[in-house]
Amino acid sequence: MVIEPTDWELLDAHRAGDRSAFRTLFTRHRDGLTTFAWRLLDRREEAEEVVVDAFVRLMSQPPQPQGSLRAWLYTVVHRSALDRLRRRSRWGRVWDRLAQWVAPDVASPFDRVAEDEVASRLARALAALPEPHRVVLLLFYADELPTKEIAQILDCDDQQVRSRLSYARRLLRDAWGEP
Amino acid sequence: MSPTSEPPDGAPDPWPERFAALPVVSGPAWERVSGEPTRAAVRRVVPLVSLVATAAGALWVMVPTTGSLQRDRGAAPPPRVRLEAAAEGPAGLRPLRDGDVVARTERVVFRVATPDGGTLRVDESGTAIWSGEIGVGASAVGDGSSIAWRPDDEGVGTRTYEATLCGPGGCAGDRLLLTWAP
Repeated sequence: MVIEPTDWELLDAHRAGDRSAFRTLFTRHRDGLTTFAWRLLDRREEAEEVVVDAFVRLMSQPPQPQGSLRAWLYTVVHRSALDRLRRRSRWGRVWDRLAQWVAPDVASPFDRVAEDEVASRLARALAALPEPHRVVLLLFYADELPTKEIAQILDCDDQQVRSRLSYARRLLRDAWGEP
Repeated sequence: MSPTSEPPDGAPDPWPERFAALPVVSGPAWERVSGEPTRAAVRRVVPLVSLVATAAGALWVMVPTTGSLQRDRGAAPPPRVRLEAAAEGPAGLRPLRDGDVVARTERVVFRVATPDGGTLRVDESGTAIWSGEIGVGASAVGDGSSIAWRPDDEGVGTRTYEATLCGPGGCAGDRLLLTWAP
């Protein structure tokens, strides 16, 4: 039986000079983080940038070894994505009016799902939700993070995550079109 | 505690299965950005990594080494840029496409989108009408002010609007043809 090192053990090994440890840590989390960021930003290249930035920050300003390192990475990515969304918002209102004309920089994460009825319907339903509710649903259902880690990411307690999830689920049900 | 192991509200939860249908980013796809490699990401990493000497090697190891990325380790590729425009007039904003006609009552605002950033110049038929530094992403040129309009003392006709973005790897451009109506 092979026991995989924890994220903190990999970070420690990296700090001790083991270069492969960082690669393992990066490979372990990059796809999940990039998918998460992509779903928030709707731009693949920006998603990859915020993920790389998160790992650069992990190296330059490593967190104290407490809680979940995965949650710390999601926190950094989430905040970076929100910063980018805020920067966009200044001109977003003007350019949103031209949205039918302005092509996105890169393919949307939901562009590929047109032929998949469930995914397409879910993408539309998620897009109709406010960002905080979309985030908690994505973290719970898409990234399958435990509520304790989601609480760490969203800087709230476990009970708040559960009630936010419950409310978000109701919104999603409405947007989905279920009675 | 995964979503499947803890159905919410005590009822069978349909959402885990539905969310599983959403597309995800996975290994090889991470190396592409709409057909392009992660050049911007790599270049952003490089100066940052230089500040973190002990980690430099690790980052180069961790970034996928496709052929395209290996090219980035040599000469930087020219930046990419897309020029967009909208006509601002009494009726508000309307998008403009290449070849569109602009009325005399309208002015033109520009936006550029680039994954690279650099020094941008916007020319109107060869004459610079705006220049400055822009960052990665979409930028409203001149903070979104109208920077092209039909002067009263000039005739109508077609003009070329060209955005030229220069970075360490050279320059690249995109252009639009717009016709000013009588």
